[in-house]
Amino acid sequence: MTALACYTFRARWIGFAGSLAAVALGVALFTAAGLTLAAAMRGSDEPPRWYISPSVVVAGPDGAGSTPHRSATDPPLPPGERGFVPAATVPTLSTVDGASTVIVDRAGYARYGPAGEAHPWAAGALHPVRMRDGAPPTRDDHVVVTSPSDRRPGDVITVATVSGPEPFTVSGVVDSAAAPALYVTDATAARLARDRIAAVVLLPRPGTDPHTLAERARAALGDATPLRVLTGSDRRGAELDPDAGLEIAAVSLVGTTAGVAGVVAAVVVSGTFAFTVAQRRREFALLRAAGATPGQVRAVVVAEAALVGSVAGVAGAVLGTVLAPVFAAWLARHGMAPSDFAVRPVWWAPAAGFALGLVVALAGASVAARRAARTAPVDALREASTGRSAMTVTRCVAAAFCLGGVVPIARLMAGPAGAAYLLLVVLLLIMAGAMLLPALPIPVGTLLTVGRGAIAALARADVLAERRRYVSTAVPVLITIGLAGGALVGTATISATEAAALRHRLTASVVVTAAGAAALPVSAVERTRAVPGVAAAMPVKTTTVFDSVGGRVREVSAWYTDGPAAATLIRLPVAAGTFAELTDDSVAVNAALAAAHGWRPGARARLWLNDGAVAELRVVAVFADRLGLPELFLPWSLAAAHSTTPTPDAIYLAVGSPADHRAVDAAVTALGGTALPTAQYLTTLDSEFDRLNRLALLTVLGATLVYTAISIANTQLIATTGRRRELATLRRIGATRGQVRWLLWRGALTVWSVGVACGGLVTVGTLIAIHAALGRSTDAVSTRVPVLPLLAVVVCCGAITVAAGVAPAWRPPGRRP
Amino acid sequence: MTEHTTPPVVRLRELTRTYGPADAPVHALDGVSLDLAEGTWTAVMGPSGSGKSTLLHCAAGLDRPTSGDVLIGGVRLGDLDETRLTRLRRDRVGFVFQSFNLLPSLTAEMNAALPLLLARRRPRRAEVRDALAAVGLADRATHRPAELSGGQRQRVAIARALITEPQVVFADEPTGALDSTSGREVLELLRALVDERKRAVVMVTHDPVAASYADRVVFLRDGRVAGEQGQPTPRRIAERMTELERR
Repeated sequence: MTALACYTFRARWIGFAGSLAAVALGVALFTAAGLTLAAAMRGSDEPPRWYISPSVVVAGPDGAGSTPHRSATDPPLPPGERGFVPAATVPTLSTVDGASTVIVDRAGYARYGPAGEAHPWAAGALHPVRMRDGAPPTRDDHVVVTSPSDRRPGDVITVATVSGPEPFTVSGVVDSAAAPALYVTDATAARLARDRIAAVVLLPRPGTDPHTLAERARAALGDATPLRVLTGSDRRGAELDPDAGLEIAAVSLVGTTAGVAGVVAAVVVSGTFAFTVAQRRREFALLRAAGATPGQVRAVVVAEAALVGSVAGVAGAVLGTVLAPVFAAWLARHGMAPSDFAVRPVWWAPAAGFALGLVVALAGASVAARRAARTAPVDALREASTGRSAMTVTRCVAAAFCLGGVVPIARLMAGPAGAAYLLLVVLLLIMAGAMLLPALPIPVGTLLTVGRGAIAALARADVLAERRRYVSTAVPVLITIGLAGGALVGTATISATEAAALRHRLTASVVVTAAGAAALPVSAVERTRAVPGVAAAMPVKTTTVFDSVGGRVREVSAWYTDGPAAATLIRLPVAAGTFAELTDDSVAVNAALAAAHGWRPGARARLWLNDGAVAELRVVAVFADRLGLPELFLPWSLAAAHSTTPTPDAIYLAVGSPADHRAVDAAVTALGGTALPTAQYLTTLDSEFDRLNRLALLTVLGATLVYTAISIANTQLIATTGRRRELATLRRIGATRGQVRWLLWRGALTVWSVGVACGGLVTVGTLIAIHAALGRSTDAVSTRVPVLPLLAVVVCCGAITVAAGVAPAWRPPGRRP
Repeated sequence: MTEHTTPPVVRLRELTRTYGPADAPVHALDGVSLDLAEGTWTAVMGPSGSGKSTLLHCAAGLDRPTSGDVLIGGVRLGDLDETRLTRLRRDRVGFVFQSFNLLPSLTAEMNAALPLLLARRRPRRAEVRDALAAVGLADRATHRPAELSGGQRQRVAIARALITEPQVVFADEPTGALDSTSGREVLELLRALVDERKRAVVMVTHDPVAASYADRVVFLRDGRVAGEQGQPTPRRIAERMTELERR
């Protein structure tokens, strides 16, 4: 049977062009996304940038979890945060045999030029450093900067630190093989790092193997330590990666892209295959009449699918490999990936793309093959065509299954990864829509083909007799419009609702944020409190901490803030306890967390903070789960001890009148801050957020929508080409070219309307799911419909459907009757 | 039928075939019994809707009767599942259609060899060339159906029907789509098949001239046998048909 399939394929590869295109483009899309994902997940095998010289690095934990060896599924610390080494371990590590030097490396926030951290001068031994000019720091206000720098020894520079801008005198300039940094005296490094130790580094004595030294260090620390003892490339894990946040965002973005591309490619490819097989029903009946058993017909279809899947899979994998660097460069250019983001060739991404194409082609064909095999040989004697497709029980059950899947996932849309879950909800709704599609063509077609003319009657008859063709060609329209509609409306609605919720929660009239790239110092809080007219000031730092439920460590969103001030600056739906006590070693939790742990005011809550350290905190308040609020509040005093950069993201102020923000602004300018009325600040925040959202949506959906648009054209072309004989007959019995075109036009209109109607239902379903999900934690869901982009997608789909549906008949086949 | 001493190749026993809903059934066949012996050519005639084609499809195992038995070479078709029925058809039955029904993507050679390919027998090149030569198409082996005339296409279809050396060949209006010269060539081919190779041929037609090539003509009306003629002539057949259509 393979021979026969090969022969048919060779003789009629044009006829397979539609399936080939669908598989190849789907594979290309998936391969490009996979390669980009592989590039985004780099990191662990790169050499260290700071701990370059051979050494053993003892570093703090890099995640939450109570055991020294965290499980791989435990979440890592939030980007930009590191764990610390307790000072008590330094004497222990100093006694380890085989170390020539023990260096206590500290990394305090200190921003000047490209440098972001101040390290003790002794850290210069961790990587090759050469003094170019001047001398090491000897006084506590001395600093050594890395070249290239326009500063000379003796220059006074202003360094942004946690407590505010500080003057330092440049004592030297070094050439360094490591990342740019500031080198200061031990005392200053300790002060800037708030006495916390980033790492203890053991330099091995000549002749001592670092691995042996590491073993000894581990033995000295004991089994129960949460500290990490790192050698070789693993030491990269002790360094803060400035791009870490961006890299994580890129991984989740590209991962979502790959997921959506994979699902859509699977649906489109299997649909195209089922359709082309259904179109050749007569050919299979002929085979049956010529003596082929049902099994042999099935084998022919499957062999063809394997051929098409392999040929197109290879083409698609190559195309995807060519496109991936373009995609990666686009991501980096738009600030959605680190600037040095580049695709590394990995074999598994094209291989996975190829496998996806083959599996999906085979799966799509096998369903159709079973139907083809059931073809009765007498069908060869009739003018059998694609046949009808009815609403079967199977379809109803599958649709119910998809809709049922929406329910548990919809809840997660209110969480931090809402956008990804939104797409999952949309995809499930689209699949349900595709299952229910056969119910639509007849009512829609009848509605659209009113009239008594011959063409209207023909168009009506066509819809009634050829429902399967209408369903198959409407599926890509449904996917395009459902995906665009659901994602656009959903994202806009979720972010508008979140923005409205935040506005509703904040009663502060003025907000202070950093004016430039340097962080807003803590001292700005006291400074604003001293401004006349300021009734209350509240620093806020957003972070992620961790709890453990049933042995599973979970990420929990948190705000570090000033409890008593928060009570006046945020509308807090307090259910029990009071925020006034949120000062030291205490926590306020939302109702969901409280319920999960059985916490009430007065209980002890065990959490891991953002540096991975365990904290036993007293629960002082429980508040209702509300959109715009984090899951828990922590007192500011804990931020100072557990954040790598313990500076506020923003300071919220209660001021007599918003116009007084000018006085506040004047007070914080010297500290690198700027004050704005809260409403104005939130508006800029929203527009920046919307811009990023739009870019993210474009990343995830752009290529996929282009793909579905192509597949609309593809199925329409296959469908109309398959009607050649019928159209030629029409021409022969006296239909004009115009009438034939008008018939096709009406058919395309029906296809488009069916797709738009079903896509509209998907969009409405998405909105209903969002209302159900967010309605429980907010007072009002702000429904947003981006009319113009949606209209553009709908019109484009219509233009493609009509153009591809009518084009094959532009030079009508009946020209030579 | 007394002149036939050999056992019949095809036996039809009380065949009925009903279409449509149970409350308003259409009886395409209504109790037809026939025996078809080897080395004979039977033409089946009747007005439109008399059940000719249904009879042919049921007898050839392409369609299943509602009740009654079809035996080919002594095997009861009703006892076979779809796969075994297909195999039996492949081995013992050839079929020639009015509209040729060649696969457009295959050459004449491949089309003729198709039943062997489907039976997983690697056809010998000579075997296929001989089959095509027997229908006078030795020089058209590598042409696709679109490159052949109607008569040539029908001869490829006959070569395909004969490639497995079947005991019986069914033909459904084999000359219906052909001009009279091509039609005569096809009929002469079938006659030679009966006379020289002792095959049974069953042919549905509405053309009295075509039917006159047969050894006997069976007339159908409303799904029942309405008489038969031996040694038919076009004139006698036409008279009988007119009579059947008038009643």
